[in-house]
Amino acid sequence: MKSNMKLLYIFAIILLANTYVKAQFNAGESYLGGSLMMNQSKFGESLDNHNSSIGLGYGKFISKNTAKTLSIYVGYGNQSSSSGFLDDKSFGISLNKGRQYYKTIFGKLGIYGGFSGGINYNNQDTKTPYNQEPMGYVERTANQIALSFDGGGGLVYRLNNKWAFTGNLINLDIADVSYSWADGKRNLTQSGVPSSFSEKRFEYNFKPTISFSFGIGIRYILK
Amino acid sequence: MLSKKLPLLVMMFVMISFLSKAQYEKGSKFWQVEGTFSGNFTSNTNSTPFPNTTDASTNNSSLTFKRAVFGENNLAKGWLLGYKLEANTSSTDYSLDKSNNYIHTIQAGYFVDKFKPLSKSLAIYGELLAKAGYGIYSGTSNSSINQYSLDANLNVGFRYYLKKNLFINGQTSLVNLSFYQQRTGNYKYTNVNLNSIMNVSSLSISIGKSF
Repeated sequence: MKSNMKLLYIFAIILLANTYVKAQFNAGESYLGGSLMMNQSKFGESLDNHNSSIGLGYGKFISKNTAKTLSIYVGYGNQSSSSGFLDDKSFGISLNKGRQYYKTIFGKLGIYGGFSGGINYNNQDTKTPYNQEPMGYVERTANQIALSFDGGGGLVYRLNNKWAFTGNLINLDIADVSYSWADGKRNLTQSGVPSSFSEKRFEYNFKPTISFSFGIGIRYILK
Repeated sequence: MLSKKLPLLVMMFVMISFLSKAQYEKGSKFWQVEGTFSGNFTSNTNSTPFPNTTDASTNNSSLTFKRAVFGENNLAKGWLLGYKLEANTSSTDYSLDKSNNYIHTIQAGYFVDKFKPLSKSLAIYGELLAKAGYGIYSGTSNSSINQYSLDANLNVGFRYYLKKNLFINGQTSLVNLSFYQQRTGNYKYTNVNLNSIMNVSSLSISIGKSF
């Protein structure tokens, strides 16, 4: 009877221990994460292609299971042909601010989820051949400003004092609004005079959906 | 002896409450709402053949309201009401041509949900749903357009309680059988469609409350 009671106690303590594991992160800790990409390709002598981007993420734990996040992303791309009739330059920058919530499952493994709001700006300058004329081309400058609200979540693994891994599993698209404006000109038209055009567009979306994707992130933890 | 048993009893109680599922008991009710709003406004200006501007817009909105009551075995039965608006407009400043097209659709249906609670706050469910819809056209076109639709769906999803009674649902359709007919004057267009999606890559979201 006595040993039975003991066994029960031990079993109960193990159960309890599982629900009160040590926190993975502590208030005041902060982390850095990021991405870097560069790509250069050449198609013979005729076409050059270049893309690069850099992303930087920063987070600070305001309690053992809540973090404030801030991330910035800058991207640049360029495609040009030696004939001069094709030229495409694009530039984009985005800034995101959010909040993430953490829960330890057991040991060093936990889950996290959060929301973020962001603003991004894109610019694209293009010069493309105008098919109706042999020496004709269209030049166009386009801009877009967008505000978005989204979320996501996944798994987090604290490897040691300095490093942690995140495995993103879920993306949440909640809402976005954008405004874009573009103008441009055609150098030659059938009537022989250049023509110009401009476009304006406002777009809104509130269509909450969850999508699934997997990506691994690495975090360097600062004290 | 009792003082030794007390912590154990307290613990048992704590464990049980972790798996409580009062929200799925017989007689418990819930409502939920799903809405989507999207659209765009565009304006294009050209200098040739003479300066002109064309404005256009597209707007789509839908709102679905569901209500259900739980019976035995985590089974809930209920009804739904929906409204959908599709609007397209366009106009140009060099002619008097203007087009405004609106299709208003109302939907009503019946559904059965079978829940499997996984924890206090999370459950998965399967759903059988049947609904009928009627759409009517209004706008600048002279022809009368009427749309009729019947849908049968097998859906799966999850329910997560954010607070005691407030939940969000994520849901996707696995099998969808639909009948659709559009009557434009004397012309009739009919479509029957069976669609089965066995690869879930996204879920639509709704929020709701149980009481």
